[in-house]
Amino acid sequence: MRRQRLERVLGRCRTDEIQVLLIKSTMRSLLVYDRVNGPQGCLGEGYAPSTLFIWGKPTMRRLVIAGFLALSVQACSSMKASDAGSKPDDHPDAVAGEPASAQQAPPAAPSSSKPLPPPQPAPPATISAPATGASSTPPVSTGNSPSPAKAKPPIASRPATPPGAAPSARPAVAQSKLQSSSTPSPTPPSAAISQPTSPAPATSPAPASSPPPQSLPSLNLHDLEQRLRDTHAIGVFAKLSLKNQVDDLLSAFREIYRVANRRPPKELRQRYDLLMLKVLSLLQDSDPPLASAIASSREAIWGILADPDKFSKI
Amino acid sequence: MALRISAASLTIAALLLGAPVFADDAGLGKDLKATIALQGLPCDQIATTKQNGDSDYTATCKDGNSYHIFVNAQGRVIVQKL
Repeated sequence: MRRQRLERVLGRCRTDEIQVLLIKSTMRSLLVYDRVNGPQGCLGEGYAPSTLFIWGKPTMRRLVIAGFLALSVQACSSMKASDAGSKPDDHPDAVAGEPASAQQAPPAAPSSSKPLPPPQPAPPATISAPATGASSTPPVSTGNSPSPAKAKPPIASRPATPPGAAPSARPAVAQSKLQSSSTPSPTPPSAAISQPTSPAPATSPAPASSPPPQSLPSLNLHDLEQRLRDTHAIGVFAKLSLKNQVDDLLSAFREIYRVANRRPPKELRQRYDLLMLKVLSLLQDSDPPLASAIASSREAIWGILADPDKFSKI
Repeated sequence: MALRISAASLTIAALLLGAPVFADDAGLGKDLKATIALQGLPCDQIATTKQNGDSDYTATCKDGNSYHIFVNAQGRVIVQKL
């Protein structure tokens, strides 16, 4: 009976989401822990962050062992999270690869532990590349483009939860992230797109240089802003501090455009780049999809800021 | 026997309830460290934090730097080196 219940619950989980610790080799004692999503993970809302499935006689020794194992698992997970946040210097690419947003995307993608299709989309050049016949690329829309790491393929293939059972209790935010990241799926990178056009090698460089004007529509500022608000990768103090700095930068732009409709000075571009780097360094370890999305939208956002007409419509 | 089992249950409950507290501390330290870094101030790792009030903390870094981090009346995050 308990075994069936356990198997039913585990059927909703992916193997990399949960941690099953075999306490006794006779398969009589198991500790199941959803290390990714905690209480709202695939185990369902009714299960605590650490859920013990123990069958057999609940002896004192077994319970104590299970308790210590649960503690050690939680301690390890929290330490891992703090370690990840404490060493952003491990990714010098994010700092060094300043101008090329596409260059920043690849380091973000490998940091996620899931097997992914080749990384980042996309900036402008690949997005506006001519449609490649009946290829599997969906119509590309926009700012949610990146975040391929959130599109967890195994979730789609996860067996449907039984109608009676509580469905996965992921928060609505997570669901929306999944939808926004999985629907556009511009994952086919430039290489994949340029393959069909390879028969005409002489013309292949041309489409790469044409598209910059069409890159701006790919920006979804509101979506990015909402994702920044919702992300757990940045704490409250840091978010407030970032908001202060963004407001300061916008005030500087307003001041310039109030005096005269002129192009912003280089100093503002440097401030903008610095702010972007700060955001990316905060996000790249804990929320790589959002970091990729912001990195790929970097030039498009600057295009809005640097244009007085577009800026006035923000 | 029942007494032993209940003692074990209490132990486990205490351990499981205590773990999120540690996680919160780690999250706060990470947040404060990011805030300090956003102001361009050095802090390799947060060693201790002390809450002085609502949205008001004193953080000590392992490299010896101490900072007063708080939100002022205008809603700005202020980081003062102590």
